[in-house]
Amino acid sequence: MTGGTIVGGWPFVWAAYGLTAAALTLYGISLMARLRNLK
Amino acid sequence: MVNNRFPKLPYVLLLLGIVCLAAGSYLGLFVAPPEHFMGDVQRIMYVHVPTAWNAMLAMTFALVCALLYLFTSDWKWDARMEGGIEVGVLLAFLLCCQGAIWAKPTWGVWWDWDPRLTTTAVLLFAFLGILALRRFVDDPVKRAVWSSVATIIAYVDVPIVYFSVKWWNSLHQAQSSPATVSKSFHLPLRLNAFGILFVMTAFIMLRARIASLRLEQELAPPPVLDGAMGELA
Repeated sequence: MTGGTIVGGWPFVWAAYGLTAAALTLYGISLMARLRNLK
Repeated sequence: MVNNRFPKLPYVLLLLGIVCLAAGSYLGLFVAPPEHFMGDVQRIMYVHVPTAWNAMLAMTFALVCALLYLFTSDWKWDARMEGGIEVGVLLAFLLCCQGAIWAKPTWGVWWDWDPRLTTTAVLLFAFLGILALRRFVDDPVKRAVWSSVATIIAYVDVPIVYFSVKWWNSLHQAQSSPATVSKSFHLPLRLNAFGILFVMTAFIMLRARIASLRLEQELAPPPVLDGAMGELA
């Protein structure tokens, strides 16, 4: 019991930020690669 | 057809977005205090809420482009619509994943068929369907018209997503904005919102450029064969 508060949870925070950073980075790289292939 | 008046602008916006996101995330992760009940898990808000705002914005941009294409038949709006839809789908996908990650420690489940979550999932799959439709239609005119109409229909879900927490009983909390959260949360929330806005704008510009180049290739007249020219001569 934690009295209705959440203790810890950092792995979830890192997972959310890590996933966002990875997805945005990979999509950005894919855009530049697609643009280079078309030019 | 490719609007290249400001070729470096997407890269400048991308850089600006990365700087804002780095600063906002640093403040959100290490400087802002933990929330009273959710503790450190609430720090997901600094990335989740800006993602939600910008996903809606990307889809609204796609809607405006769809309407402008139907009224003007100008190909640049079709290319921009494609950019808006694809980036909107990326952000809506991230939104669902971040939401699931936040839901597990707070609600005890990764997913719930709650009105906000369900309508967001419907939105994601509706716009994903429009991208699939664009892949399967070869005729550029039919593709542009059909996907414009589909975008207008799919967009009906955007206000439903927004108001779902007000209209129905929902596990999901009501909308977060600077007015509804503590002042100490404002700066990281705003920095990340502008960060994702700049990155999203850069992505839409680059994706629209790709769509324009592909359209140019599709609409270009077929090359005249030497043999045919010889016969004509």
